[in-house]
Amino acid sequence: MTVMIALAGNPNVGKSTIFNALTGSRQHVGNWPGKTVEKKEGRLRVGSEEILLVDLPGAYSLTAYSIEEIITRDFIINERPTAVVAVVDASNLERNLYLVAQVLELETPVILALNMTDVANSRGLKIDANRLSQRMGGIPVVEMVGNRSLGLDQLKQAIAQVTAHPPQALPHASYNGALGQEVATLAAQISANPALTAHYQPSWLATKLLENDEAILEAMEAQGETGLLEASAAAQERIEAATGEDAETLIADQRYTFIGSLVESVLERPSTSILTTSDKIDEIVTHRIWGLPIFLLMMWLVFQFTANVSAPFLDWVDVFINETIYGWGVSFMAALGLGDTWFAALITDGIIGGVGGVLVFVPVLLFLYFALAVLEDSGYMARAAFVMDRVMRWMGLHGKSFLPLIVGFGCTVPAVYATRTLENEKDRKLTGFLATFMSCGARLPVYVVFGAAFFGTASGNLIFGMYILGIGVALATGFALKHTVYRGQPPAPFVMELPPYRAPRPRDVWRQMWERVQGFLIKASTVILVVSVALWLLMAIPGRANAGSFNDVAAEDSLFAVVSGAIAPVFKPAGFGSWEASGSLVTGFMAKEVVVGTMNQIYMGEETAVAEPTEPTTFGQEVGRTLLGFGEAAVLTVQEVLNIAPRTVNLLPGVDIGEFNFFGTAEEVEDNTRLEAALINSFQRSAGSAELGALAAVAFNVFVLLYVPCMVAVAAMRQEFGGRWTLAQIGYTLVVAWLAAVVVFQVGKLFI
Amino acid sequence: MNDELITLTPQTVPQAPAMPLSMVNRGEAVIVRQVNGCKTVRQRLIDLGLNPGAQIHVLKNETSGPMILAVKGDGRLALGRGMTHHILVTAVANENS
Repeated sequence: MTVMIALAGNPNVGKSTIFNALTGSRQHVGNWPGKTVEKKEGRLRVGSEEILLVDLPGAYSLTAYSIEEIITRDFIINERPTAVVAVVDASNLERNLYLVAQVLELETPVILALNMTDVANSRGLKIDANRLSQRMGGIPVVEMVGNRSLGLDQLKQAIAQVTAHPPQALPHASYNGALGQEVATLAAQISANPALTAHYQPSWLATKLLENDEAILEAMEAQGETGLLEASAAAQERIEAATGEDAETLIADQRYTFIGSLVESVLERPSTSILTTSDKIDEIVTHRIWGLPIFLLMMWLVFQFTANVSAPFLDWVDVFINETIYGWGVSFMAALGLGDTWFAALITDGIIGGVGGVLVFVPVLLFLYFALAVLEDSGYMARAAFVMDRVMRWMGLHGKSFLPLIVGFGCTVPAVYATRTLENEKDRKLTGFLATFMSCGARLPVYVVFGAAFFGTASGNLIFGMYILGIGVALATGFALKHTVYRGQPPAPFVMELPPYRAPRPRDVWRQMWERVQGFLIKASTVILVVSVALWLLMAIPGRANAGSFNDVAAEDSLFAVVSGAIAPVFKPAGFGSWEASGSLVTGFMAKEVVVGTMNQIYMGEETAVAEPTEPTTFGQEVGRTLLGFGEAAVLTVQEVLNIAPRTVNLLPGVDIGEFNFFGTAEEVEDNTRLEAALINSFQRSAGSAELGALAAVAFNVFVLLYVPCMVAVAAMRQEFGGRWTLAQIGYTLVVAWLAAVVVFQVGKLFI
Repeated sequence: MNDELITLTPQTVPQAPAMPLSMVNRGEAVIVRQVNGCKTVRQRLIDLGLNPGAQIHVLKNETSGPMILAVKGDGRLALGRGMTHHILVTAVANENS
C-alpha cells in the first residue's frame, strides 16, 4: 500500500523547491481533474516505504474563494493523506500559520516544515521550534532551508515517523465563549448523522457552516440537510446577539488571536527597525521614478541574453543539423540505393530541413526561459508587476495582469490559461486579448534570422525593438478598449504579495527551462513535422503546366508558389509582396516557428544550385568536428555573457568600449548562412533595392510580431473566452499587423 | 488550540479615531479597526493578514500607485489605492518603527 503525503502552504514559501528536492526526477505533472491548475505528484523512498507525494496548489487559507483553496481542502478531506506537510515561511510566521491552523482544524496529522530559516536568521528573527511544536499540539516541526537542501533528511525522518506511528490523538481546534458553545452544539448534531461523519470531521463542518462557507453550504443544500442549515443560521443569530459580531468575523478573530499569542511566545524579534535589506532594495526598485527604467534595464538584459548569448550555440546546432545530420541523411539514402528519389528528398530537404530549421532555436528558447525563471524565482517579478501597475492602469488593467502577460513572452498558450488567476471576468478577457502581443518564443526565430541576415551584431536591437513594439501595441489596444468597449468599468482591486528576495536554486531553474522547452520540442515533433511534410509535398507538385514533374520542379513553379502567389499582392504595399514571404506567413498559422522552417525549405530548395562541393568526411571526422564545435560554442557563450557589460554601457551616447573576442575572429564575419543570403536577395527583389530590402525585412518582422496567434493559442482562446471573442482577436491582429507593416515600409521609404 | 484564548470583543479594541489606511504616512505604524468592502475582497484581505487587530507598518505611500505594507512585521503586501480607502485603522501610540 502506498503511503500518500500532501504538501501544503502559502504561495512563494519554497514548497516546489522542497517537492523537487524530495522527488527529483520521479515526478509527474498533470492537471487536477476538471480544472486547469497544475497537479504535481512524485515518489520518494523513505526507509522501506514508497511514498506518493502530492504537491497541493499554494493557498493562503481554506476558504472557498479560490480554486487553489478548494483543491487543497477537498484533497485533504477526500483523499485522507497519511499526513500533510505544511510548508511555512519562517520569515513571515504569523501569516503563514493562518493556513496551518485551518489545516489542523481538518484533524489530519500535520508535519510543520519551517522553511527559509536562513532568511529569518538574516533578519535577526529567532524561532523556538520546540515551543512552537508544543503549542501546536505536539506536531513535529522541522527547520529547513529548502533551496540549499538543508533539513531534507530530518523531514524524511519525520515523514517516516508519522507513517510508522500514526498519531492517536490529533491536535483539536476549539473556540471559546459563545462561539465555542455553538460550534460544539452543532458538531454534536453532525456527529449523530452518519451520512455526514463518513465524510467530514464534525467540528470542522460546524465551523464552516457558521462561516457561511459557500462550497459547504451548496453541498449541504444538495444533500438536503435543511435541518442542519437552519440550525446553523439560528446559531449565527445567537452568536451575533451575544457578542455583537457576526460568526465569520469572530472565527477569523479567534484564529488570529490564537496565532498571535502563539507567535509572540515562540518568536523573538530584534529590537531594530523592521526595515530589511529586501525593503531597502524595494525602495529603489519600486521607486516612482527609477522603478520603470530599472525594469526596462532588466528586460534589456534579458534580451541581450536571449539574442546574443545564445548565438554561439545556435550556430553550432545549425551546423550540426543542417550540415552533419543532413550529410548523414544524404549518405544514408544513397547507401539504401534511394539516392535521387523523391523519398530521399522528402527526408532530407523536407523533414531534416523543415524540422531541423526549427530545432536550431532550442538554444535561444533555453536562454529565454532561463532568464525568465531567474527573474521569477528571485522574487523580482512581483516588483515588476508593482512597477507596471501604473502602466497597466492606462489599459484598464492592474499590476497582476502583468504576470500572465510575462508568461506570454514564452508562449501565448499558457498565458491564456494564466489569466484564470484574475478574479474579474473583464480583466481576464482583456488580458487574454493583449497576451498575443507579448511576442512569444515561437516568433523569436524569425527575428533572429532576419536580425542576423540584415543587421549583423546589431540584431539584438532589432529583437528588442520588436518586443517593445509588441508591448506598445498592447498598451495602445488596451487603452483604446478601456475607453470604448470597457468604458466606465472600474478596475478590479489590486492585492499582491511581495515575497522576500531569494537566490534562485540552480536545479529548479534548470528544471523549469527544460520543462518549457519540452513543449516546444513536442510541437516540433508533431505539428511542425506534419506541416514540413505537407509543405514539401506542395512544393514538389508542379503548379503550372509544363513546369516539370513531381519532385522535379523549380520552387517558384510549384503548387505552393502558385497558391501563395495569389495572396502575395496583399503584401506589396509593405514591401514583401513575394510568394515566398506570403507563403511563409500562411504556414505560420499552424505554429509560428514554422515560418522559419518554411523559409528554409523554400530557399534551400532554390539554392541547391549552389553545389555541395565538400569532400566526403568520415563518421569519425564529423563527430570530432561536432565535439570541437560544441567546445568552441561553450567558450563563445561565456564571451557573450561578458560582452553584455560593454554592450549595455555602449548604449550611453558617445561611449564605445571594445568587446571581448577570445578567438580573435574578425568583427564583421561575412559568413551569412545560405538562408540569410537568400533572404537578402528575395527581399531586395520584392522591395526594389538593397536598402528598401532591409526596410521590407523590418516590415515583415512587424507583421510576424503582430499577426494572428498560432492555432494552438487560438484553440485555447476559444476555450477560455468564447468563439466570438476569438474571431475578434483574429480579425484585429490581422488588420493591425497589416497596417503596421505597411506604415513601417511606406513611411520608412520617405527617409531612405 | 485550547490554550488561553481571549475572545476579541469590540470593547477591547482601542477607541482612538479611525482613518482610512490610504491616509497613513510612510514609516507610521497602525492597527486595523475595520475592513469594509464586498465579501470576497474582505476575505482575501483577512486571509493575507489584514484582520481587525493586525498591526501594519506603512513602507510606501505616494500620491498615486499601490501602497506597500509590512503586515504583522513580516509579510510585505502591495495594496491598490482603492482598497486602502476601505481599510480603517488607528494609530499606534508609541512604537519603535
